Amino acid sequence: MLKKRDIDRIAKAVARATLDSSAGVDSTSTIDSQGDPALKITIVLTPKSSESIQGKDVLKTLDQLQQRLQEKGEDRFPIVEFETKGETPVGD
Amino acid sequence: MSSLRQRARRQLAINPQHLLDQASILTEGSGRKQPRATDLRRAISAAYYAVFHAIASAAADSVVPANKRATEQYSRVYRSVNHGPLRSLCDRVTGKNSDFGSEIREFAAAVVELQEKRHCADYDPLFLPRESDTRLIIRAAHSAISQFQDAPAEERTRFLSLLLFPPKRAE
Repeated sequence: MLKKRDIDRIAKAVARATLDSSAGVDSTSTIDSQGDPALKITIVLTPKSSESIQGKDVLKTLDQLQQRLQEKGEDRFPIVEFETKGETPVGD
Repeated sequence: MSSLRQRARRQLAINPQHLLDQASILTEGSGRKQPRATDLRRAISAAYYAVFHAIASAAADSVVPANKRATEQYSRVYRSVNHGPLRSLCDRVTGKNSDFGSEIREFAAAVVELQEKRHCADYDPLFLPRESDTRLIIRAAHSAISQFQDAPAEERTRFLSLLLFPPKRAE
């Protein structure tokens, strides 16, 4: 199980490579829908990049992130959330 | 039988593209400044189901001829695809010992991601959706379907056969 610092470093490197520009990353431990330990990784995007990112870029990010984490011995599944810098979640 | 009914039977019963279109429309907020959380939740759910139905239909098409789509046997194969076994297979495909290529791996990673988000969107009262995340997950669902269709035929067939006929565990 990797430390948060290492997870963030890997996520940042993957996001930079696959999404071109990301403003930052954050990670926390969570539980997935199966009840297994998982990671919630938030990738913060710049306003321009969130408009230009294609679906295939997202797929690459998901796959690369999981592979890199696995290579370092991290088996928790990364659940990735994207947000644009300064964006607030939508509440009813 | 009327030609309209015959035509309808040749088409997909649940069209994945229509689900993706619906998801996109929901993110637009129907005249409001911002979509409601419920709109985004339904959009995420529709994006997952677009991928799910694309796979269910590919699985049914792989064992039942196209001219038998209006039959009970087609429906039975289609409905045999369930979320849990799909998740288990995708976990294997994205796992350390996977021998699938990048197209199917990326597709499987997207399925797991979409399934997790769909669970949050449909059941978690604390989940607060974001517009940008929802839009990107819809684009990812679109690409996941294309990527599966464009994957090497041998890998696609192997994936679908593992989904329909999972290996038996040793007793």
